[in-house]
Amino acid sequence: MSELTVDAGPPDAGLSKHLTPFNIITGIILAGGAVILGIRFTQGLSATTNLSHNYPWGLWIGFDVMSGVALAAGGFVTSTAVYVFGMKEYKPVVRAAILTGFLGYFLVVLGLLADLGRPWRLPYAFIKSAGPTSPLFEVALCVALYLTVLFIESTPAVLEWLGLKRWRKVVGSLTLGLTIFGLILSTMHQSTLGAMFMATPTKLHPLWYSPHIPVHYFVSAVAAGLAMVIVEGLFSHRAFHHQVEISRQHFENINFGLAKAASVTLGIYCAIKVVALTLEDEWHLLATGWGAWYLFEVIGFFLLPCALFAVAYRERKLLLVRVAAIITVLGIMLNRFNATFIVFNWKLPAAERYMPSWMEIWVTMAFITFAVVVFRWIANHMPIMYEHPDWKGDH
Amino acid sequence: MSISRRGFIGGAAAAALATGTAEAGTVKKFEGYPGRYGLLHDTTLCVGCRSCEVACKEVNGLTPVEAPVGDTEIFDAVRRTTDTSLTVVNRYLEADNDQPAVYRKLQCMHCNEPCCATVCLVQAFEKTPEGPVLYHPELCMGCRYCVMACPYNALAYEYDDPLTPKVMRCTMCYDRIKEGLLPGCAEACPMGAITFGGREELIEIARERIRKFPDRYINHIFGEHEFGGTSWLLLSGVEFGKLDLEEGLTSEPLPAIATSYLGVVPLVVTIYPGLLMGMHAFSKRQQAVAKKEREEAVAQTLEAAEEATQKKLAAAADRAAKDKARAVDTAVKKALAEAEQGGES
Amino acid sequence: MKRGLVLIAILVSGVGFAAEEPPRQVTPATVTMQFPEAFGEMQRPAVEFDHKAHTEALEVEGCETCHRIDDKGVLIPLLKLGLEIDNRDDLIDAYHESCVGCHRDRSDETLAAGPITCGECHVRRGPGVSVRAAMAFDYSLHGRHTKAFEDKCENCHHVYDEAIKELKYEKGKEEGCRSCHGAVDEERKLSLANASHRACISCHLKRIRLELDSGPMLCSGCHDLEQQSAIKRLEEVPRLMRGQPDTLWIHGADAKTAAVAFDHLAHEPVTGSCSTCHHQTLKPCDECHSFLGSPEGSGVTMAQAYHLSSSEHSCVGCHAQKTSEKQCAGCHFTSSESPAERTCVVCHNGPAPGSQALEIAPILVDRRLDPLPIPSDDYPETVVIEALVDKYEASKLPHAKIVAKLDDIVRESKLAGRFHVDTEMLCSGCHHHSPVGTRPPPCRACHSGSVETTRDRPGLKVAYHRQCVGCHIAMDIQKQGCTDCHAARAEEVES
Repeated sequence: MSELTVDAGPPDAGLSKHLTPFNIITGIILAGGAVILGIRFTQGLSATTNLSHNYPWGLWIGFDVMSGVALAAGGFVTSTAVYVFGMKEYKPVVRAAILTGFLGYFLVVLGLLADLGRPWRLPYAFIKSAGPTSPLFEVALCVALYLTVLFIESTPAVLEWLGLKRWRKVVGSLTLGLTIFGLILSTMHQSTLGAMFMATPTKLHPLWYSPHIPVHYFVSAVAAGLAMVIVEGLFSHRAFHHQVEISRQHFENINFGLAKAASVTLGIYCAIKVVALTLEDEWHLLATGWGAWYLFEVIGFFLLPCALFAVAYRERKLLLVRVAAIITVLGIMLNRFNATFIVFNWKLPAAERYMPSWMEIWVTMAFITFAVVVFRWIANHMPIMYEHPDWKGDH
Repeated sequence: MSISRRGFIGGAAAAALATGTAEAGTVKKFEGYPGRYGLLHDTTLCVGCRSCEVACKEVNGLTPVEAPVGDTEIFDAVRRTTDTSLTVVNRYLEADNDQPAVYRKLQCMHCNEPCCATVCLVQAFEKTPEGPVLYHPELCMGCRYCVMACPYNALAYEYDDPLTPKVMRCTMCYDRIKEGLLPGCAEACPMGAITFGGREELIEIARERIRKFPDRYINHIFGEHEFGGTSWLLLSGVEFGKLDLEEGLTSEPLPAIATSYLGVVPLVVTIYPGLLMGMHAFSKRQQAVAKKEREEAVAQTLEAAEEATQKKLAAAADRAAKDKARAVDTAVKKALAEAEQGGES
Repeated sequence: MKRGLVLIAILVSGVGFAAEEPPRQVTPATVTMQFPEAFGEMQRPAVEFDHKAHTEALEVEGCETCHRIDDKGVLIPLLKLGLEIDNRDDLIDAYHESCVGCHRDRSDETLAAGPITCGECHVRRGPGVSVRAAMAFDYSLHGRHTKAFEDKCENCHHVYDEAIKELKYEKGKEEGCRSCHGAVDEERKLSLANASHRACISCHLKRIRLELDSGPMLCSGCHDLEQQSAIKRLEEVPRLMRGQPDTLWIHGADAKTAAVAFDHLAHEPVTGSCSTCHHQTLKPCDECHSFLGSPEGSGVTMAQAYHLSSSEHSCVGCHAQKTSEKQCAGCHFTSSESPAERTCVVCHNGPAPGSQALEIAPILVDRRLDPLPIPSDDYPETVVIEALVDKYEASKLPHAKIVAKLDDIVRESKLAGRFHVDTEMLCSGCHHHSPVGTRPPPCRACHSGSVETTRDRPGLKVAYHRQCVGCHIAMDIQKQGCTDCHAARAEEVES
């Protein structure tokens, strides 16, 4: 008797499809992060971090909060360019930038939830006892509002994906207002993150401390945002190549435009730094050890990419643009780390300094991985990298 | 709670009136609650017995001191306050032939204008009229901005506690003061290196001591004006810099320095919308003008093209009519010629 | 997170720049070759000349390599090539010719030589801290010199005769060098440094070359602290005779109070040199310090000159300094600097001004202190302090023993003996701020429970500890721990 054996395919087809290298690695990282956070909430911060009484803010604040907010600035920069200044040629990257911004700010909140002593009391500042004299209060309020703004600005893609046309129309009409509101909020909290250090004139080295820290932080945040859009474009253009509709030429033009803006911004930042050195009579401090570290940060990570961006724009070298963008991102991180725990309490002996523990680094990596995974899923399913056919050409 | 329109306007007017009658903030200066307490720490009297540390731990119910009174090895390292030691005594200069060793007690300075209170986003710190700065753990969310901001590195945090961590700092034994008792350290100090009393009185005492013994003291009371002044006042026989205290600090209150920038916030909120709408309108106008010029150019080109076409058509029609007339002519001539020929044969 | 690791690598390499370097020390043998201010600003920093290295290197060639020895045998402590030049550029050339020229010559002969390039001599460095100890004569060193010169004072002492514009010797008018020679050269009057270097070093050099016993020739011999303290001292220092009286009355013109009998002979051994009191010149104090003050005395009045407690040259100032010495400080550290008014008569007990008795030098007799009383109720042997017993047992104060010890110290010192007019004054060292008498009040009479801030009067516990432990610290008595004075109380067992 002949039997027809129908090949049912491999029995665990559904599971092995998901066991890609990417998923395995991210899975391990995320699982490890969850375990460490479990330790943090059962055994305290001392078991998982190297925080001390002299260094209460470490990697989770320095990277997740301070650098995270600065690097997520691409959202307001690009949306302001497109919707307020009418630079339509950058429209293709706005959605990705906004999504990066939203996930970046979400990462900030995650970092805070891990770092705060009692994170469930985060809403106390708004609902129980507000301390409006505190720069941190202003940051918290603006970040909370801005997260909402970014969330709403991210919903058009979701609504298009869900086919909810009426809602999509409503949200679309809010774009200009939200962008302006977002720029207001961003100006305030990006600069106030710097203003937080105005309370520590004796503990932050004079080269990093300035009465104009807020301006320094805002300008560097703009540069950070531009650089992050370039860096994020570098990865997503490759990962989602099949979705991208714009021509290679257009994509490169966008990058060069961002490079030009970044060069100008970094140039302004370096000029502000020179002014600060003169106004506060600090040139002689450059000859010290800390002065060398300062020059390393400003020249190597702000002046250098400024020049690289300018050269890359003129010579139309995309690789150079990307290199400069990565250097800028590292520079922002270094600048924030310096203020938070490297140059902070600089008068203390070296033995009492803070170094992040491996668990802090792992959790930070886990948060970043989480954001990357979410971004990837959203970009794969929703119109981020391309325009939904029903809404093509829509402003 | 409903409020009538009249009530609302009346209330708003009352509020405006109230703020209107208040003094312009920048001209007047609040000198602090009168009669508030302070402590005078005369480091020339401190012998490093650390009875104050023992008493503080007892009063606050903390883990006892690691090294007993009289232990000198503990002074080999300079310590700071921790979550279980709200005060420590450090030796800053060792004894030599001419001078005895120099010690100083560290703790929260209970500033007149505490920066920790200013930077707390849930107002968990309170400067009491009696002088001590109080901390309210029931509000604290553990952001540790206060620990960052304190210029004297006096605050510590309970990193070991997973769910109920608190900021730990000297409380100036507020409850004891309210009952008329002395703070634990002041009561315990056998040499009277800590004197508790009214802050103004203590400043007078300090000045008198300096006047009577000019060779014994540096002519400066630390804490009288630094960063707006502190409740703890210090006298020293050596430069304050040698005691790990920063010399030459401004008398401007630290909160004023910390929040000077926040005045910009309302300006941003009020100016940006108009400014950005203006920019947006400007860019839209630029686009509209560009569009209009484009359209005009296109229209002009079309018109010119239309004219040219009409001319060509007219010329062609003309030529066609002429051709037709000529053809008719030729045909008529031919017909006549044929007719003539036909008649002759 | 590769970025993070790269970051941490940068952090590790970048962190820890905060170490402060200790300030640079400038040895006594370093001569900073500073051109006169009149020559204006120099392009390069002044050369810090290592004199020691050069004297060692040119030991054989001798000082004449750089210095000129004049016909009187005096070594001129300036570069010989630079003498007589008062033009800036020529002087620069002279130094360069001398120094660099010599270095070049030596290196040509493959000998050890100094630098030739500009920056190696004119080193740009931050200011250093000089460890040069100032040198001065005391009675012992002066005594050794008078012995060596067989009491011929003219070998060193001179005065400047304005009339003939020359130095000459005048007996009875010998002064310390400082009375004329100041900090800088004034035309022909040399600075103290230049004058003493010419006088001292030339003589020492001569004697060394004659292989006689001599003082030092090198900078560090006088100006290095260690070598200074190694200078041989005479066992018995002869009295420096310059015609001073043994005792005298101090009574200034226009003064109204009773004259002071001053024992000059007794004061000489307790001062290091005459200039301890005669700080500018050997003239009597009131010649410069007139009654109402004068320019010669820098405006310091006669009363201030004798009584200013912050000065080390005044009577009261020196006596006050003595009370801060270890054996006296136990009682005296609690009293402020100005002396009690009741002690004025200790000194001012002579005849009124204008009296004939002032013509005759006073005769001073040592005061004899009464012996201490026998222990009694008024003067207890032991005092049991049990007022504040809590964590510690009562303290048993060996009252008579302590007073006897202090009494011994007083009797040993002539100064103390004179001011401690009676033994009861000793009581007021501890029983302070109260009338002196046979029964002083107990501590708790005034020091109640807690502090009285209006008078800065401590409470009882602090009063006991500050008085007792404070005294022990001031007198360096090793009884400063808690249990040294009162035993710890055993913990009460809770039922």
